[in-house]
Amino acid sequence: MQEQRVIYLLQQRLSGNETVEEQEELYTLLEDDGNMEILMAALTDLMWQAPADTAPADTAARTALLQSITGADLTTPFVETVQPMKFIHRLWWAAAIVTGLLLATGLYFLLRPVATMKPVPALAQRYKNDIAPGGNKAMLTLADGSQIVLDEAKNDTLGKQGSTSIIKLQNGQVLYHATGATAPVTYNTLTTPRGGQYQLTLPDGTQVWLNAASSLRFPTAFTGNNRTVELTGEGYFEVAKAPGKPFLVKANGADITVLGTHFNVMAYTNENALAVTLLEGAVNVGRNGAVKKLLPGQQARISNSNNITVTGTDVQEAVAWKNGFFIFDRADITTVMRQLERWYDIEVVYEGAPPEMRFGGGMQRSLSLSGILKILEKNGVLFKIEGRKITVLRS
Amino acid sequence: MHDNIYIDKLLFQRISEGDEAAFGILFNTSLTTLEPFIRKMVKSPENAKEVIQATFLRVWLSRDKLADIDHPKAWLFKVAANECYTYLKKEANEYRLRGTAAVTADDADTATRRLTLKELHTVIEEAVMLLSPQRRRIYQMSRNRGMKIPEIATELDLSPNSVKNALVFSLKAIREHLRRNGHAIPLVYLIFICR
Repeated sequence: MQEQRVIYLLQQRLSGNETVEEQEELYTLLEDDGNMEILMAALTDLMWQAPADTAPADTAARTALLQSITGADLTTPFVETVQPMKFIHRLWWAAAIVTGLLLATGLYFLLRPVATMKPVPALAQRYKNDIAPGGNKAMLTLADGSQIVLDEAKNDTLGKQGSTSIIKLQNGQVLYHATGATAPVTYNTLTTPRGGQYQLTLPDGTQVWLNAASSLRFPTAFTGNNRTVELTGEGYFEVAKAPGKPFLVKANGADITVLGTHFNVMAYTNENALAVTLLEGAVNVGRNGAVKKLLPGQQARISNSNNITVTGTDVQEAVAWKNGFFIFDRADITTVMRQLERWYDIEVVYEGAPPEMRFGGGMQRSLSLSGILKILEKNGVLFKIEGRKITVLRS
Repeated sequence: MHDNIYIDKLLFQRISEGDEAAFGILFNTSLTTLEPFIRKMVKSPENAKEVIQATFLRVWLSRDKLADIDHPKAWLFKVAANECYTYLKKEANEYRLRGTAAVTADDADTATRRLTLKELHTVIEEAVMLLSPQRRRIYQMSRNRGMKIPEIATELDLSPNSVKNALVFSLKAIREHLRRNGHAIPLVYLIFICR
């Protein structure tokens, strides 16, 4: 009987005594799909007869295995957007993929504490006023100390410095146009307030997006061996290619050296670490003599200890601000609120300890503050708005 | 066998409601016999781990169906036998292709299976994102916060039945999304075989 033979071959395999011929015979049987039922039945029968393990099990390994299974369908909680949005979904996919790679078992415990609902004061009592989102606002400080407010300036040539014209374009961005390199080079500084962001085209054609509460100091013409600018806060760069003339960003003690490439530098001093995220090309990130090279899709983080750590990251999350979104991947409440502080020019205080919860998903930066806070409230946290002071209530 | 008393209909009923502790009991008690068997059958602890993972992932992702199963232990063994069979078939194929004993191909095999688990998680994450906001909310309250059906019903002011239906729908949607992405969970036919 073939059934008997199959059982015998599998028993031999289980005993560890099978001969090469017996192994070959089993393989031959396996190749024929017609034998599936016999093989399945034999495997099941042997399973019923299998003796229990006498040695104690490796409990830690088992627990880890169990968690990998039940963790497979734990997903990042989604912060719901008020308006339906195609674009955000695309960005969210990218975030979801990264999240998928980091197993969510740890997250499970972070998400465990659930706010038990106390009577909640009505929205109208808690939201005394609303606050408009930030917009395109910046101040340009020229070498002679004179200042041009860019959100009010008319759409034409703002000024001329040496041989460089400063032109404000239709969409509000500022373009530097160098007509010759004979005049002495002077330095300008573009500064965005809290609640402002701005786009700028440098004399070499490099495009810079400056996030809120940031500044960029740059020359009116790049005449030397390299193109050096100084950044505070956060900026996204699309560097124009100029062979043999590297572009250098100095930010909070770090040097980012590039040729032609797209990258984001987040150097807010109240964040945990300076982060350089590379979208295209290659950059070198250095501080205090240590240098690390980044590949596209990677992020370098420099903490206060001066260590440079490089990891793969969701680049869309890093440049979401430039595309008009806040995107969070398991961010804690203080991280979320720091971004809101800069964009809505608000001051955030916590009634008790900041609630232990994580936020994932996207929200439009074009929403008013109350719109944003209402979305966050769906996750169980409550806020109070009084003037520009926002209180995160004890949950 | 003494563990028979644990693998019963009541346990499956609890798992079908998303009770992780009940699933843990099933996992640990059945591994007492399943693990040594699978380890000897696939000839290495690493491969055994992958087979066990695949077996219990199937069970977990089909948990909404478990309440309908009449012979829980027979059913579980059938799922495990199916995973062993799949593994052996792959080993046989590799043996023919390489002309070497499949044991040497263990590393490559393990790597592909691990990648699959990661992909699986990504696909599930996608499937949950594609649910309607209400269903997603209910699903995540159940999974992420470990809330029971009546608790979710109270918090969202819904009937327990609509919550249950939403959870069943969500699991179905997840399996469907997995199937579209090449991770079939063909358990339905097994349920009928075992009846």
